[in-house]
Amino acid sequence: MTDSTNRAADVPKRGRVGSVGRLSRLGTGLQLTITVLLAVAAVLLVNWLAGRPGIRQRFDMTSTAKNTLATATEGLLERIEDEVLIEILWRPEGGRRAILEAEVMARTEKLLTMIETKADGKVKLERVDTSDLVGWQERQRELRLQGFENGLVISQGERRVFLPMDGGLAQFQPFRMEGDRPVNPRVLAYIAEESIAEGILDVTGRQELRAYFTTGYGEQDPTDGESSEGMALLVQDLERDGIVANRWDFSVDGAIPEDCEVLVAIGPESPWPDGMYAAIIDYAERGGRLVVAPALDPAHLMKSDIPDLLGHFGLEVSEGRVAHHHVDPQTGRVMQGVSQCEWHQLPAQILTAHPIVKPFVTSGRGIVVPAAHQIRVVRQPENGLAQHLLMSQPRSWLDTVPVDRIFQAEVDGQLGVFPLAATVQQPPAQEVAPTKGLEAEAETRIVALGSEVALTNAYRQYDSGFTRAAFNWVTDQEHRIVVPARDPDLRYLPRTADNAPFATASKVAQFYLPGGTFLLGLLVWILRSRGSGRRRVSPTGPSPSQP
Amino acid sequence: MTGALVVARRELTGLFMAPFTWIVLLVVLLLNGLLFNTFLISSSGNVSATLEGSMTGVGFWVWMVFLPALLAMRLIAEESRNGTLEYLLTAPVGDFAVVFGKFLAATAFLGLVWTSALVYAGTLHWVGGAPDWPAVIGTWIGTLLVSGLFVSIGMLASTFTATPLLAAFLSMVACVLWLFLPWMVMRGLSYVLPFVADTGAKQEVIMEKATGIVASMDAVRHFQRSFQLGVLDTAEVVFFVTWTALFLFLTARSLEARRWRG
Repeated sequence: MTDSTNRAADVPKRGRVGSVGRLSRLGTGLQLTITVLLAVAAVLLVNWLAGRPGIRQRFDMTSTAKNTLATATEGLLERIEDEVLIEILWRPEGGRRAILEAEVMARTEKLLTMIETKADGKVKLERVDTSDLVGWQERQRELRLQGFENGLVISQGERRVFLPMDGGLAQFQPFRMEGDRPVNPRVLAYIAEESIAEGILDVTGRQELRAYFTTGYGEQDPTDGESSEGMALLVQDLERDGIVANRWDFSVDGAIPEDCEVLVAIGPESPWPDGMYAAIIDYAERGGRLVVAPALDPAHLMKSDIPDLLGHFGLEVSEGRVAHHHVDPQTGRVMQGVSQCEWHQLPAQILTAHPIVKPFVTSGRGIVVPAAHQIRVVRQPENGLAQHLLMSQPRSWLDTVPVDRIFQAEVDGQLGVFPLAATVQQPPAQEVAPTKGLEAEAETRIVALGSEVALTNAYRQYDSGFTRAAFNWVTDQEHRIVVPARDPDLRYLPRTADNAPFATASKVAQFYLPGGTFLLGLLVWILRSRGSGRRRVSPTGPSPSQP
Repeated sequence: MTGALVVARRELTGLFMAPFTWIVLLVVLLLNGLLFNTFLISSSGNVSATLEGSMTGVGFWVWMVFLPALLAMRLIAEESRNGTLEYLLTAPVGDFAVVFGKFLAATAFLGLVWTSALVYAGTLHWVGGAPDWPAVIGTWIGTLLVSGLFVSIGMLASTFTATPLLAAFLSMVACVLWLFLPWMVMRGLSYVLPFVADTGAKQEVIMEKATGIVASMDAVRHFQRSFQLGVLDTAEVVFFVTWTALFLFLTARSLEARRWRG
């Protein structure tokens, strides 16, 4: 009776317990679900925060900083307003250059990824499927391309630029025979970053800037492409940066044209008329931009108004030129030619921190400066800054007139370091509107180069972009400062007749390392077997591993 | 932390005492050695390309599917089947310490596997092709972080069953899913989009947004954009560390849930 009563009383109680258990489980499950959701949300939030500019930090661990974009490229990417599309045309081909081309394309793809990341959605990458013949032919018609060539197509709307792999992304040395010895092709320079930056500039609708070259007083002709003293090659380079060259002859044209964004005076040999000199000073003081290079010949220089013009802005040009000793590495003799003693090879280590040469410093590339007078800062402008742009190598001297490139202490003074170019920045002397076409507020900017030679056709082949960088700075377009080419990756195993380095590396990877692991594993197995054997025969108590 | 280190030491000792571990290590090193040799010859001795191929090529991602699964199977499911996991969970260390200790041991083991690439780099240096050491070290750090992420995914997957083989299979599926999810989502979206958005412009907008979201979850992309290049990017480090932490947290919760599941 008692049992049955208890059983009857248990039934509703068990039901209550079951529902409480289910509720408790449901509650725990709900709690767990909420915890998980909160944790996922926290992870997403932290990741979002970590990706914000300012918080995100990037450390390029490569020794050549090959994963870091040049400052100029970064500046350019920040200024893009509308989306730029970069299409990758890549089809592996055979031949002796196949491996090199694959390397260049792999490196370019990495570079493009960096550009895409930095551009924050303003640069879009697309790999063209070249195996889809119909699709490719259609795209080819749109791009107005003939045939197929590996490279990149940069476009924005209807404007587009094609960068071929050969010449656009890298410069190759072709296969050739040196006597009986074959010389394999190799990558001479990797120029993709510079080409892509220029391509983006080309398609993003640049504004044309007008440069006026003074003429009529012995200056070099900006249209002369024939003679070595002409400057047609420089003018072509400037056009690539959106700077269009024009002549300005005071006696014919009168005042400096209104649309002049930079005035260029290269090697005048005779004095300017007073009105012209005054117009140039007035133009510069109102926030104008000047590029000045004195004549190479001291006699011409001193006859011209260049010393007075530079002196007005706190710079001094020497009559003599800077020279240095040159010892022939083969004969050990001291050489005295112009190219030996007056061409200054300036490695990256001795370049200044000026924004014009900064890209050269960061990429470890030097600059060659042909014969130059000393351009010295003698006075700082009020509220402005005059600074030396290039300095000669140590143990140079200022060779006094007549320039004989022979050091004579009693005449030439002391050996040392001499400035070869300088710049001046200062606010305009009077309140004026910004110069048309220039992005910054009105500011006088002057670049004074050591001599006219740096701008002539003869020098262009040695100029790795320095003069273009100078023009870009003076026209306030630092983002157009040339991105110097990067050296190709030359980390290769040495080639020997018996291919020993290859064989050794292969043996270590395929045999020694796995073999060593096998032996070590075997040792562990033997020790383990002995250990467990001892434990098995142990007559007393449990083995030490047992709890 | 001390508890986690004790568990890690116990696990590492257990790992290196098991013949299975040495067999796995031997197979991995043999195949990696063959791959290294292939890259060395095909790149005509280009040191950077060879090391990049060996450390971050397809082989690396294939191992990322198999190795964490095999380790995770041993770490959790096998212990669960043998009944030793319950002892461990009732030991005077927290659940998270147990999970973290096991995670440390498995990641350290994978770190040892990827150290073979440093040996290759050292060998290349020795025979005259000096590698870019800082970049190599940067990539190696990245491989450790990726290993950590996949180990944590594998561990979570293997908490759902006590059968080791099933656990290994689940882990592999989870790792493959994590690798291919971005591709699958985009593929699926391209089929579904025409039914969702009526105009091409709308489709493009949705696709663009989806690409952004999917890309932010793509582990391969995160790795390729930083560590593979020899770059340490704080955002990418945070990506791997936080997702690893999340999966470890979920693993600990999953183990805890066993108690109330009964």
